[in-house]
Amino acid sequence: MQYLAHWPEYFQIAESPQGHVMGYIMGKAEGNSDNWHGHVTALSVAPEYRKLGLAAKLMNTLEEVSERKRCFFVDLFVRVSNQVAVDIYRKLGYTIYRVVLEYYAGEKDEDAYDMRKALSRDVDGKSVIPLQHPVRPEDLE
Amino acid sequence: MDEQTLQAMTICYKELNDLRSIADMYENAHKVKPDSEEILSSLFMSYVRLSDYKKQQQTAMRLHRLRPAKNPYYFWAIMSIVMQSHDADQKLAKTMFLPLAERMVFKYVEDGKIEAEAEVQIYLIILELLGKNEESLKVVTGKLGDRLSSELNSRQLRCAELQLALQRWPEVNRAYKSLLRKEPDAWNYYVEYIKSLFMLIDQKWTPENTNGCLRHRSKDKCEDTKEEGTKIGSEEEEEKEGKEDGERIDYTLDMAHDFLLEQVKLATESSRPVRGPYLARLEMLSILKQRGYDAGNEVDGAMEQLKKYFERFGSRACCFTDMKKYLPLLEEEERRNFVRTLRQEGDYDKKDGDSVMFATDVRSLQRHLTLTQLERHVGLHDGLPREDKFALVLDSVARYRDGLKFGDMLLETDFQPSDTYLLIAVHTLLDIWHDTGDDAAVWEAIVLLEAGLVKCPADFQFKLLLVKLYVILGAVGPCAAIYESLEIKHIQHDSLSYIISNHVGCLGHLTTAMSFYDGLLKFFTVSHKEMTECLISSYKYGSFTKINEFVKFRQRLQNSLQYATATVERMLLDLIVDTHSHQSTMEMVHCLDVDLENDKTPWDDLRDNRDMEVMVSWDPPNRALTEEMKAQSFREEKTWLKLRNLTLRCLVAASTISAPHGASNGTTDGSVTANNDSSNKNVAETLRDLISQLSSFISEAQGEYTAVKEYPLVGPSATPIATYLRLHIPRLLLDLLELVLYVNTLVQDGLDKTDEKKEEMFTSVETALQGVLEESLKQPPHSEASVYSHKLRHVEVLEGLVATTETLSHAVLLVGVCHTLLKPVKAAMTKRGKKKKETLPPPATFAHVNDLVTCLEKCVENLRAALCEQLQSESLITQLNQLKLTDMPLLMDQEAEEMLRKKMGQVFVVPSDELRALTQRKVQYLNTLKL
Repeated sequence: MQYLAHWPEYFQIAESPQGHVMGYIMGKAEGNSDNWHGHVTALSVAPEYRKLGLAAKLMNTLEEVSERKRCFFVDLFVRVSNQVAVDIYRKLGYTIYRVVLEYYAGEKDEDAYDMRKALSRDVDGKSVIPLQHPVRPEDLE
Repeated sequence: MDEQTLQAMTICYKELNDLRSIADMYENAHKVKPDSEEILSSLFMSYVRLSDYKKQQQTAMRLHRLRPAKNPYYFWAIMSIVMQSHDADQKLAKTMFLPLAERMVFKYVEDGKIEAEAEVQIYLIILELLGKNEESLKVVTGKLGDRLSSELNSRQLRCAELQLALQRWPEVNRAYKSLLRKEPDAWNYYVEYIKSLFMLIDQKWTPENTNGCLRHRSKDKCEDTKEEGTKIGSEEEEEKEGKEDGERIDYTLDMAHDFLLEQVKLATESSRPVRGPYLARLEMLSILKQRGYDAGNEVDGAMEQLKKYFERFGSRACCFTDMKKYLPLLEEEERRNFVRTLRQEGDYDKKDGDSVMFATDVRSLQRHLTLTQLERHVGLHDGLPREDKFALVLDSVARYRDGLKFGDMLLETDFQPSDTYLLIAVHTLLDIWHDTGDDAAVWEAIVLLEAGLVKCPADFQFKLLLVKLYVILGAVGPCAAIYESLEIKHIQHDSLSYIISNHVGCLGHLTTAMSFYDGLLKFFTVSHKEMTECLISSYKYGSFTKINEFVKFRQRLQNSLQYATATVERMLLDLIVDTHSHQSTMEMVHCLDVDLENDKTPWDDLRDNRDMEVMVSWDPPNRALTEEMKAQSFREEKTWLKLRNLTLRCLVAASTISAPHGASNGTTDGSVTANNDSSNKNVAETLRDLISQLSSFISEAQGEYTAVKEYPLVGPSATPIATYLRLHIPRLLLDLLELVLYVNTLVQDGLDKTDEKKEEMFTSVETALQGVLEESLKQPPHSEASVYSHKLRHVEVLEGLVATTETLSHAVLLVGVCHTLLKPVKAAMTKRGKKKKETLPPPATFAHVNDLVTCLEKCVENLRAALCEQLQSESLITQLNQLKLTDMPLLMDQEAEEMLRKKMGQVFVVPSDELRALTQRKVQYLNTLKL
């Protein structure tokens, strides 16, 4: 809700002809100077509406909004175990920038991939050169 | 005084929910430091918390005067005026608030001081509220519109929406067509495009016969900001053709057909499956049918279109839902034939031999699944004999189990591709149950679902169905655990809690019910705070378009039926669960702090926020949940809430009557003369009023709600009101309350005013008490109209027993009130008697109260015995052991079944224990009530 109050333009919802929510995306823009970037906070597609390319469509919207804000890149965090999602993001041009150790707390903590895609402003793709070493969540800037 | 201290205090006040003090504090701080921007800004936010729009406006203007260069402050003031217009009546809004807001923005526009997109947004909000669409269009297409850039397509879309509001159909048509070229899958654009098409057809619009429509149009192309009158020859030519931006206006069916074909072509070239244009063609046919055309004969025919859709999207999970909307294009029999053809052409069945031909990949599995869903929906499963339905169950279960191999690599949070087969099997089993009354079908359905959950712990459809089925068995224990495992979040507390809210307390899980309601109430309180903080952020970040949305959303939660129900149910539980004496009841009443004078329930604004679409179903339309049923359920819920609300208020009012109010003034004749306590009179008046409300409520509800309302399985469930009316509980409550009023009058006016007729009420209450108890121990009458067989009728018996336990507790409370009223009077009489050394004959009332206490003691004892007997787990186990669909060997999952039998053996232990403990406390309570 706080996100909606702050970055309403980063909210998109996809509705079916029957008025069902097929999927949604929410995000934000943050960071300083060349770290100014769009971030995907949540992306969700209802099971019934998967394999229709909805995630791609929603991600495009978020990237386009970030382009307009003159962001350098878009990033997102995903569970390393979520192979399906990682593959989708790869197909959409995202690469693994770094691993964040035990980012997801739970019964058993899980690592996250920080995946990134450079936008047009980052002409040389500097923002997506992978880090060699994993980082801890508390070291995230 | 420093900023940090003020902030710390703000946090404290927020925790205490004392928002007024935050504003007072900053008002004072502002007086001390009138030039502090921070303090003034915090003051503004404190008024946002209070929704005091007028003060917001004044504070924002003070900020504006302090920092005239900062635009946001000026616009905070404007937005605060807009918010006042929402609260004011329409006339005042349109003649005073909104014009003022408009002038204020306009001043900045004229002075060229507009800086941000948010400022343009607020201008558009104001113009929209004033209905000035023409002006809005000018803003969007003009220079200011350049600022509308953060949202995708926002300017072009805004234009289209405004054309729509202005009903300029040619422009609407062109605008949405143009948007659709960019986004061929955007359904809402198709809806408006098709709408405009039919409007143009109705108006017989052609480019030659424009009725001046196009020419009067302001030059409002989005990308073009040239002024009117600058058109050159070639543009006019283009308009005559109905074209602009290379976009032709479609005003005939053929033209629309061509466009949609172009879109289909575009779709086929897309890398992802695009459903939009295909669905748009079906939508067009659908509207044609509504208008009396024979859709079957229209371009390409409905059957053909539906077939194409299945061919293209049959292997997608959304296919059934998409097609369902358009199946009514075909007549009932056509529909069946259509689906039969799909099966024949699909070659799904093995011709030689019995074994099932399993899918070789996920897509073919889903295609077969879509077909099965369609078959069920068009009613092909309905007419089948029992054996064929069994065969269908077996087939679906086999396909489900085989399909699990495709989900080996899935995450725990993913659904299995074949899960839906299991749901279809369960729905079919429940059909068998409806047809035959064979309760074994319910039992087997539960076994299947429990085993399904082991394979796929994430499938919430399994869980929702299980909750429903356990409730049928009267077993809330597993329901509460399953509900927990749904990991309900945020707004779902409001929209989904209905799944168990009517059962958890009424089926005797009192402790679980208390924590369930606590969780629910906490959500509503926390959300209210959160929403308020969101409002603050919206001002901070200039998200003005969201402000009224947040306010409305907050309102939606405040007026939720679930909120009102949880509030009352929680208090009713408090009033009986731990109370073991009149004193403990009074302490509880004090804590509950019920405002007897003002009922805070927003009766006129109550909202039904329950999401009844959450459970999937492929039932044919004649068995589906209808809007009328939803409305009926809402009416029933409101009636039930009214009864509970009145019960609570009556009990609290009655208790309050006995609160110490001059008991020491009791005179020898038992009357309270001195200081004639006005507070007692007021409470007695309130109670009298509540009693008359309860009385008229009973006569109204009796007619409509005596029989249990039935809803489809995927819909809402009935409230316990029928049980309460069947057992005559409200009537008994009414009699008990009358008794309290009578005793109070006696104490107030003097015991010599004893009324023989009224004394008879004691006896009739005793009879009524015994009546309720006896009735609750009987098997409820079987409703002829019921579609359920109810061999397993634990649920009704249990609900009756719990209602009786609650009612006896209420009776104990009210008799406790009578006792407390009479006790000092009796003491005074005894004292006087001793002094005068003569014994006055005690009024009959004393004896009658004592008799009532004895009667209640007996009732509670009998109830305790009944609870032990009825809820003995062995009896249920015996029943369950007899249940088995012996002719379904394939279905058996021995392990799951054994596990379940063990689990079920325990399910009635909790309510049994809790209810017996409760009655024990009531026995204790009654021991203190002898006069």
